[in-house]
Amino acid sequence: MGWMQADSGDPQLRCLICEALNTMDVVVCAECSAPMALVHDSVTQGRAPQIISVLGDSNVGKTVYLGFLLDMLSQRANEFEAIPKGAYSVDLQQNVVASMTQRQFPAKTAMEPDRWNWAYYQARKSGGRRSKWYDLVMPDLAGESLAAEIANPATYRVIRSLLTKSAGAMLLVDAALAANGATRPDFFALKMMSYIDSLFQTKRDAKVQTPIAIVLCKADHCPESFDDTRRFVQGSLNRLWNLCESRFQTVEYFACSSVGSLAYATGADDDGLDFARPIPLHTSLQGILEPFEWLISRM
Amino acid sequence: MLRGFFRQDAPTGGGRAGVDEDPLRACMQLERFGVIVTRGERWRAHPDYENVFQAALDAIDQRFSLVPEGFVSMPTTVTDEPGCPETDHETEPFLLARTCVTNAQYQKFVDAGSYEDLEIWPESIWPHLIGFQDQTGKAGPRFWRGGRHDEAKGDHPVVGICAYEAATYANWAGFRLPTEAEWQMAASWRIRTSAHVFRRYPWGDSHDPRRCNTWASGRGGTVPVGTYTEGAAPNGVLQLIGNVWEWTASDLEMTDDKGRPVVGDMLLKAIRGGAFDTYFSCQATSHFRTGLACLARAHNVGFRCVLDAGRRDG
Amino acid sequence: MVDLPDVSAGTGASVLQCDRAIFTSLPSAIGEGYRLVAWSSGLRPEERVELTRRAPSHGSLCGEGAASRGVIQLCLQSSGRMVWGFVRVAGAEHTRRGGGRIWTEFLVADASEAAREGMHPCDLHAALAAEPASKPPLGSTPLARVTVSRRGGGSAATRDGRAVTVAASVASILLDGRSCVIATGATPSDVLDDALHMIPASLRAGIRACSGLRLSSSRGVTATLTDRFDQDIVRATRGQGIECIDLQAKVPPPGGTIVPWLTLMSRWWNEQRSAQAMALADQLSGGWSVQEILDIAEMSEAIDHGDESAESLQIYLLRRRAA
Repeated sequence: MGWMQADSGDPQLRCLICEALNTMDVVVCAECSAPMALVHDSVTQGRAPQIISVLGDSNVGKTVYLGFLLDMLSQRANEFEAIPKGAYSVDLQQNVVASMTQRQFPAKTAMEPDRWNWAYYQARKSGGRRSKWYDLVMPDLAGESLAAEIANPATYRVIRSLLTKSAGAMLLVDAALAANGATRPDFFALKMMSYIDSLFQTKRDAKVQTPIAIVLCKADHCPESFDDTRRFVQGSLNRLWNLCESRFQTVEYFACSSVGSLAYATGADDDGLDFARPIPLHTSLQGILEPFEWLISRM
Repeated sequence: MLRGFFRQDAPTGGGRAGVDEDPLRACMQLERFGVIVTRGERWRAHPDYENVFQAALDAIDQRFSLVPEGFVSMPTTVTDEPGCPETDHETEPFLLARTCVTNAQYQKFVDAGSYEDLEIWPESIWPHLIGFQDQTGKAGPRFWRGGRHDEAKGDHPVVGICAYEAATYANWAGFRLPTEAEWQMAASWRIRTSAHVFRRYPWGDSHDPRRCNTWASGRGGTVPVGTYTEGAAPNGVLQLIGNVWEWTASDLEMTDDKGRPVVGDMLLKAIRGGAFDTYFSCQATSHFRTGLACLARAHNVGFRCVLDAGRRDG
Repeated sequence: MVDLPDVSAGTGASVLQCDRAIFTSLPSAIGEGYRLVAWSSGLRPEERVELTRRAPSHGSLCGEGAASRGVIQLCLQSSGRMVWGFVRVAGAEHTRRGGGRIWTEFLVADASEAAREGMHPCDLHAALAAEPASKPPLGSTPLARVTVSRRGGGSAATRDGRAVTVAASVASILLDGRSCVIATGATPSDVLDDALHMIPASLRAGIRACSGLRLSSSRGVTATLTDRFDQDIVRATRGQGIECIDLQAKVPPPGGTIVPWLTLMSRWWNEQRSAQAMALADQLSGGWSVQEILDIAEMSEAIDHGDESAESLQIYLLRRRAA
């Protein structure tokens, strides 16, 4: 198979993400730190997993979203069956669940690729004879790494490789900031989609075919985003809207929320500076599964 | 006896049409039983007062259950772990509605023109009244349309109402919202006996998705208030856990582990019980404390009413 | 034993001009999170890209306390220049999501100048500490370049016998250049400092190491000094040809051709002559070969045994400098 290569009698494995050659006994790729279990399982099953990239600016909520999504799939939400491939795949959802039950947001995702959480699952929608199993890889990337890659392509080659190989993507956008009139969410989304456009563009007039779900996170701050998501994007994220309409063939818009009520612990920190630490008082999941279901149906 | 107080040909349209012009009968028709029982002195001279009063008592007897006196311990920090600081609260006996207020019941409040009657609202809320609109711009809960609820969900708990709407309805009907301590007492059933116990859930100590409508139940939305009877409290009160969070009259007062106050963008009112979309079972218990912005009109928050035991005229 | 003459006298000040950059998490109108927030005008675009990739981000320090610190020394692939990084905790990150905010100050210098001067990271850190605070908001104006002077002689460090043994062992490992993760126990950055103090200045620039930071292949170093091994390290190193050395279990003896020099350094440190040891190591900048270094070590041993006069070393050093 193309994933394996014999060189001087020593078989080597080619990483599924960055295609770097690795020795057979490595656990993570020496180049991009992706789990080599992806390759081992692919060899066993004779097919490559489908990659869903979860993208978004720093602090938009990628880790929380992905953690809850995986946990919900593990609990057979909406008749999905999901099986983690490898104990490491469970780390992300366990971390998110543990943090949120303690009324804390999970720690910031580090920029170093070898500290990203790689979730590798087999999933299918149960019911029906033709329900298909999907091998899904969904890494939890750091928003700053994405920003750095967008600003200077090839800063993180693993991101480029990941996106190039993705069967679908979710772009998470901070609806709360957008609703308050901040332009940063719109500009980041615009840059991210432009980057994706440049990766997949073949002909000048051809639209990008890769399905992309635009997911408005923290939508509990602006309930109107649930009522009419398209209208909200058109109004508050107009640059993104225009680019999606002109350059992307398969795009859908969703609103989601995981926090039912957000409060702040206020006071002075050790340096005497005032601060407000956000506290998720309770969890109320809305719209977590819908983007995933839509993407799966389009992949 | 009750039949005579309701118009047989009550129209299905909104507004004040269909409501008896007699204020005493109107109260009965609008299910303002608490007003009749606690503030009925003004109607003592009414020829039907005794009958109406008894009918209101009967209605309360059917819809409310007694919660005996007791005491509760409430954690004061956001991290609710064994050994965390708590405050103790004594509760007097009170009558608690067996179900949350339904869409059909709340419809009467809306149809009576309550959103236009400034007198029944706190003055501090008057500037916000204009924002208490449904999807079509009519006054009413957030998810209604044209001032009407979804007819298929008449027996579901009313949602999309803020804390002030809940409190104003309760007061309009002659009741009030429970305090946080009262709500917890009703759900935990912590009575002062030699056996110093309280229940994590109204039915016992183990979470059971068959007894309450939370995320684990897989319903994905509210259910009629009369369902999940297996999850009832010892006095027959239903759905204290799950279906919808319930507004209380209490402000949420909590601190973090270092004693720093926990605040929101606006005043936080305590809500209790969990809802259909509560993912963690540990957040749908009798003692889990949380809050919501007082003006939030969430899809998963409703309320039920309380009447002080022994508070009756006549 | 005969005290050696103060060979640090008349060494003259050594100076290194460095570009500077700061990598941390700051909110701004156009972005937030970890990134290069300020830099001097001499830092090249490709260097900024590489520093972004190499820099430690949230949760990278071994400890989370305010006293936790990390040190990085490596060579940039993009430009070939040397870079030193000094990592510390700087308050809470603005999103308040657990852990302290990581603040890294980078100094970048020409590789040949760095090799010639053989500065110890302490000298660079001292120069940074002497810099005036940047005009807020950070990044609004380019940072000024930093002039680093060798402090000369170094301050005396008191270490117990085990610490000296560890420092010599680590110095040997670093000079060997093999890819490894070294678990030192507490304060890995102190261990790196001591090890680099033992290494002659002319050999320091070839070290690619970091201390006090969690293992990451992004760092671009050969050796990582961390506090302890965990499952993440085991997973990351398996099959990668990275040696795991647990100094808390066993301290490997120094090896390689430089052993006589390290033996001298260890003895002097154990005899509370660390200031003298550091001064001699610092003096050996400007292209000393390994054989010359070994000659110095042999001469010093002979002086201590009374077989040679102290002046013979001074003459040797002066002649070498003149040449």
